Amino acid sequence: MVIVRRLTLTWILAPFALLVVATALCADEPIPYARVAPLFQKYCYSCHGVEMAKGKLRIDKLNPDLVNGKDGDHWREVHDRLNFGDMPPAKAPALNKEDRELMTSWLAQERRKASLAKNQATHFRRLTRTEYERTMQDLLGLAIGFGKRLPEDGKSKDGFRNDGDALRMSPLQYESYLQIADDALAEAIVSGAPPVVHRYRLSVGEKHANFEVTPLPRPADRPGESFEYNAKKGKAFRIWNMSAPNKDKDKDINKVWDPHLAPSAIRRFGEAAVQMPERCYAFGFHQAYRKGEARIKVRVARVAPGEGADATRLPILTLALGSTNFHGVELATIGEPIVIDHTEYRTYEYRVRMENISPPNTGPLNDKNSAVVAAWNSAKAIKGEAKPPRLKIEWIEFENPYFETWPPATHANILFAKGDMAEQAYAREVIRRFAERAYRGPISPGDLDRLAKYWVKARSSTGALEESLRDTLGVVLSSPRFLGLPASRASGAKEHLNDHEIAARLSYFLWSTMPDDALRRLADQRKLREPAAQAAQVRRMIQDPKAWLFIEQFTEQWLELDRLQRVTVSKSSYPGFDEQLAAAMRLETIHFFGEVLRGDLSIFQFLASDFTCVNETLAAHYGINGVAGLKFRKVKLDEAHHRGGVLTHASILTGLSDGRDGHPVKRGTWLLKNLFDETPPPPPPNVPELNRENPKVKNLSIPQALAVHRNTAACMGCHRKIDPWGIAFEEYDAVGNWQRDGVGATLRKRRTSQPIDAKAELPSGVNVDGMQELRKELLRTKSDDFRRAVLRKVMAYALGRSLNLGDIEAADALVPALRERGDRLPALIELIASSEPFLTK
Amino acid sequence: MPRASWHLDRRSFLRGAGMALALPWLEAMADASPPAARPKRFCAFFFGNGVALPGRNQPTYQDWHWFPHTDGADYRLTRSLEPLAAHRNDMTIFGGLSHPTSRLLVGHNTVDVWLTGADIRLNLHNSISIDQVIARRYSSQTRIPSLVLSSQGGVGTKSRSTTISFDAQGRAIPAESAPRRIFERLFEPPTEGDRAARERALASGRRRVDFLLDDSRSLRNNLGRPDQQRLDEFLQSLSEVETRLVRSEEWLGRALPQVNRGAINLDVSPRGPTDYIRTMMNLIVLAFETDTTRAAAYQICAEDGVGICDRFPSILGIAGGGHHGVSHGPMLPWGRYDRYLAEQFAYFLDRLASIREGEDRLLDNTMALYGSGTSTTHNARNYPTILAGARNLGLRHGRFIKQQAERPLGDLFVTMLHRFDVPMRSFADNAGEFSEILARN
Repeated sequence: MVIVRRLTLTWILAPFALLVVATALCADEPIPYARVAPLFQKYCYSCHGVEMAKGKLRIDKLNPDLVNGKDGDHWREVHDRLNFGDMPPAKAPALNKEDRELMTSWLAQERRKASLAKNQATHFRRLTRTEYERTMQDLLGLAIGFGKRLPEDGKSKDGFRNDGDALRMSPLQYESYLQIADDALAEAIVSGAPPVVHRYRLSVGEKHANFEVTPLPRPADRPGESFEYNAKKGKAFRIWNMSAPNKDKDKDINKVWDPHLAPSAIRRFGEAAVQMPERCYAFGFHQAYRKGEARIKVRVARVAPGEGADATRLPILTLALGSTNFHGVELATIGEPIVIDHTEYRTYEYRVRMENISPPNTGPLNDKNSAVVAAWNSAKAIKGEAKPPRLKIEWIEFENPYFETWPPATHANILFAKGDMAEQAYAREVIRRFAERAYRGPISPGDLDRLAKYWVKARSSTGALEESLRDTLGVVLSSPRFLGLPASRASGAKEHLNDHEIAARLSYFLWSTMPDDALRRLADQRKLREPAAQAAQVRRMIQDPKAWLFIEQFTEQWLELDRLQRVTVSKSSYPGFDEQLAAAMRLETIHFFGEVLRGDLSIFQFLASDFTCVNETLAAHYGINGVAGLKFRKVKLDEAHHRGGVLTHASILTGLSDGRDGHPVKRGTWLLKNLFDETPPPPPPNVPELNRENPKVKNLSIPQALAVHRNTAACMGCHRKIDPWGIAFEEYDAVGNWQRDGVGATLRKRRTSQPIDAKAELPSGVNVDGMQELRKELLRTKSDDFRRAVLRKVMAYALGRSLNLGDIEAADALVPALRERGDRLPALIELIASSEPFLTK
Repeated sequence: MPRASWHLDRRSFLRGAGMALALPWLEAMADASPPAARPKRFCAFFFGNGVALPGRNQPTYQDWHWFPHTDGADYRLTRSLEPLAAHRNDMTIFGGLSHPTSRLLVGHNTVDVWLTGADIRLNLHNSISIDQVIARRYSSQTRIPSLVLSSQGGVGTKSRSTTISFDAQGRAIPAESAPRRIFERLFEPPTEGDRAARERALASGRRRVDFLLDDSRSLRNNLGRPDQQRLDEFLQSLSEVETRLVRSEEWLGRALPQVNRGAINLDVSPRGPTDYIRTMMNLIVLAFETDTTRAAAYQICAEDGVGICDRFPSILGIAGGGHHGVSHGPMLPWGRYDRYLAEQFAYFLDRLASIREGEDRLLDNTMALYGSGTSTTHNARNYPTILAGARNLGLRHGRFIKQQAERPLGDLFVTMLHRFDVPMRSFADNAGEFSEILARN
């Protein structure tokens, strides 16, 4: 229900920045030199030719081959002069608009070619923060968020974060690697007796006085003594019994309480204060758990729905860990919420690394500075529901550090059973096995010798074998061989990747981590070079849960989903917009990509589809009925939804708005750049941004305002090629609502009385009105451009570098093969993975 | 020039140093060194609860409004900042700076992010504070990386921390509050055990970095040219790490500066705030003067009535209860307390200005940040901010620089970091740089 507050409504005109572009070029058909040569002759040679060489420049002598010639700088000068309109000079014969555009377009095209050709391929690059974290986790078997300790990676101009040019190294960063390696190995490889284990149970009772935390004894089958507080009961713990008193007005906490938890949610306040859910059970320790794995068990049941209750409504168990602070708590939800559909008690188990939880401050712990475990019923609360679904909790157990055996599996995986091996031989073998996994391939005897020598030195200066191995393996984890990806050979000649390098390239492409055992085995057997075997691996990898890393990162970076976070959506224009909705918008596009990839669908689904992926939050935004729960699922769309393909995803439409209205220039630029790889040139310097407060355009609709500016000669050349694409999006507002009817129309009425104008004349001369027609036109005329663009984007991500001319040609050459294979996305991935640039270095 | 009490005995210096390789600059040893080579110091002073900013129609508006009434070079200090008048040409007052993501939070939270700029709207994950970035930059060149001080000490609880320094992982760094212990840590030799452990750690660090350098060089020989250039960045980073380790090792063998214990009154308690605050400041001055450290952060008063410092105003006879109470009360007592704090900061600047380093004053080589994370209490915008000193680091002073629209404090931080040879392009959520404070040349 939208409440329209006509009288109190304040109009916030979000800054509307329109970039006015003065140059005129957007790649269409390639322009041959023969077409522009007569123009240069006609307009330039009289002053810069045989008879005269003003400014010592002879354009007739310039080499028109910008790729191999040496006149690039002169051509740049010519290009700039033409762009800025100061050549030819006023007294010379005027240069007409079409000719000027043709000349500048040719120059732009050739200069681009030259810059691509001169960009030599680099292969060696360091791991991204995400890749480093995943690799460390897989290598060591520790689910710790290592990457949080590194600075954020840069972004390439194409938006990819795995581009080697953007992945720099600095002394501070190297120090972080050294430190993380030490800390990680200290967790993975243990020495000495098992540590003391903290095990507690919060038992829930019917009376407040029955709530208690008790230490648990050591289970017979597990090592590690239990720790016992020697403090009196109640001193070392704080219990939050936030169940409801039986009568709300009854303040006597010693009377019987209702121990059943009704639905509730974490409450947020304006400041960084988070309060416990209204109804929950929690306990806090006066002991900060900062390291190691924790195991939490919760014994729960659903309260049988009574007379008249909706039996389909089920309670949902949510568990969180965190810490108290001055004014509230900070809680991190652990695992996925669990729907509880049984009325008898069952036990659920959670595991979590305490390193990933934000601990309380160091120093003395008290009620405002303690670690917290909390559990509650996170089913959606419905106002006025007489009998909501309720959750019973019998107890909650917490154990840290948790390990089943001593030494733990992480240790045994690296320090295998020594048997009767001599120490030196054993150490060498431990190092070899570890280094071959870390370096993603066999280690040369020379390299192994050096590591072994290093170990000998470490051994002589440390007390324990474990310590010397930690030291040595720490070196492996700080080596560029581990921190960096496959590199070229000194010979400079292009060569085929070996099997292990193929495994690594595939694995970082699709999983952002090191190869798994299956890939490694195939590489050992030298089978990965066989096209069929490789294709089979690609198919397997796509279906593996780890491919989410590719799906998420590639989608986010290709389609610039991070724009969503940079837009400040006007609260008064869109009262329903909040963080949860923004998060759901982002996930729709990512899940959609996943669906196309794993469902073996055509890439043209991105342009038009009859399905999308939503959860209940986004379904409500889109007006799609029958979707309950926070999980994303594929839903069928019909015409009345006015959705389909990423062009109508709220993530894109919102990210390309100014927070109040859609932004046709951003939308048009985005479309050309990401879906057709035709990046419009940036506006030249000194061009002012269009101020919407300017009286000249203030009362115009956006398309009208754009038209005013487009029609000034300086801007027209380029904007004529950008704006129309974006204007066709006008049917969708700044949060992606369809605004011709329904909620979107109501919201629009509050913002403006201007009618929607989505009519545009595309650069080809074709007229379209709105999204439906735009999509049709894209599919009709630009399908090969789209194939090429997706191939190039995936190629850039797969190689981890900005593409050079050779790479682009290789990607473009795959178009017919892609068409032949039904344009299916997995086929596209296979084609990239078997392309020459991918398999060579 | 009279000999300073802590002046180094040349013989003890050399004895301790063993081989004197690439020694960092010390005034006592190198009077003739050019200004550019002099150590650059940074310190930050924080007070909580904002400042008195009476409205236009209040009688206290003219005299007790912390910010001057006009900006530019011709501003007039109100009584709140009058004690700083003598340093007018060595300082800049800033208006309209704040950390964007904290602007809508209740002001008290900003104590945690004043020096970090972290986004704590969703959770309280913090990030590294600017003093620690500078400390890391110079850590190998001084005996200790940084001084982290507060009147209350420790870390307190999140969002009301009693420290303003946070490490690279965003963890609060416990602040020291006992002057005697601080002095002992700075100027008394470590125990044998501590020293041996430190030596072992450094030696194993060296061994590792040496190995990695060799390893990278051998890897480099097998690479094609473009890839070699990439790897060179690894090699350069490693060499720098190695240099730092070498320097740290050298520090272990170096004799401590001899400081006259009697020069500072260490028997002070926060119950006598003036002596206490000045002793803490003197410790920072002494640590800078002896080049024992180059980064310091001191939380003079915490936020929101936390800790002993809340009682400072009442001990001083300022009406209105605790500091937090004063900040919710009438303007006049609050303004008086603002003035009191300004007097202490002026004392610190006096001390820095009175100490010579070659031709210059210690103040010229020290950048001092003074301020709060709220303008008035609970309002996390328009942080009261003063930056003083550091003429040799290229700062231009003498103005009140006011923003038309709220601007990220991170802009100023990035430009400050550049003056400390930290080439960061971004700090927290800065939008750009703050070149207005740089001297034109």
